[in-house]
Amino acid sequence: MGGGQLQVKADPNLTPLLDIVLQLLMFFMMCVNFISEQVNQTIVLPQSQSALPIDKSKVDVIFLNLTADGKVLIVGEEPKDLEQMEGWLTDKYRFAQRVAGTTGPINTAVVIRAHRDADYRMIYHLLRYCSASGYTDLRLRALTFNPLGV
Amino acid sequence: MLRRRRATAEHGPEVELPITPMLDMAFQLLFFFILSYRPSAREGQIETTLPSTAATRKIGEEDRDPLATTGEKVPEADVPVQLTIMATTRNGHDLSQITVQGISDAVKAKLKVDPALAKLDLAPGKNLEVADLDQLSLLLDKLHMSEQMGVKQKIVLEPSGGLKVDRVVDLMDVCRKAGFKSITYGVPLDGR
Repeated sequence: MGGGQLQVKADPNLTPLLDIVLQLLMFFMMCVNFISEQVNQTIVLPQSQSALPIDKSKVDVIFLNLTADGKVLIVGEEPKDLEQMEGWLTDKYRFAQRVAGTTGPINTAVVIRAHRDADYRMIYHLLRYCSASGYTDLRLRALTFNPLGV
Repeated sequence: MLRRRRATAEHGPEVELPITPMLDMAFQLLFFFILSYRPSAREGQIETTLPSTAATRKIGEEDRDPLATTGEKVPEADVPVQLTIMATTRNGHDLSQITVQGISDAVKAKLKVDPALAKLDLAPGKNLEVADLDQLSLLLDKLHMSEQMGVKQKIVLEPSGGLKVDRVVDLMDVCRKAGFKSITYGVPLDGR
């Protein structure tokens, strides 16, 4: 019998490591949100202590993003001036009525995401146009209050 | 050796799956999703209404809570049913003046005895002015009496057109914190 050196080959077991990596991967895949609900990330919302959790029961929702300089951003549309919104909202309401086959009120919510530096008069006019067009369910969005300020 | 070859031949060749490339790809994907993960601030909603076209109706008219259990007739002068809060600003962000309308002299007389409101000018026949949101909060706490009186109280906010939304929401928060549920947006103070 020869006195040859014993070579020990040690292979790390990669299977548990792969399990953990796939777990983490699945977590981040669930968290990513490519289509962020028709909201515009440039709009910085005001903070409100009395903001309620979002009611997602309404299926038909129109999102209006109001910038600090009074432009209204709607997904899939050109930025609009406030004055153009009256006509746009009226047309949208009438179209929705035609689709629903009714001349009565339609079940659509209008969510207004106004930049915190927008003027009050802009919000007022936008709400007035929505109300004049026939929309009754109007909602303002705000950030829920974070006492840590983070 | 012959026995091992026979055993291998009986059970088939041992297949080893190379996990290392798979782990590499999993790490690549993981880094991508970690970098694209952006925790967003939580959004909430504020119910919003404009005053109805019948806003010019007299204060107190149709404001009684139909479910009020009290059988007593509440004297209108004792309960501020509709309050109008007007707020002006110099630069859009700072509130320079906050005025509260809709408080009768009888209610002011009751508020005068409250030491917490000693700094307020509760002279009869004048609109009530408050210095800041903290004073407004104190005042509204005293004025909120919907549950006691069975009356639906409303607040109409009429800030200057140039006041920023941030501050308008602060005003609204003060009103809601005091217990007022019916808060509407009025015409901007300095016209449309």
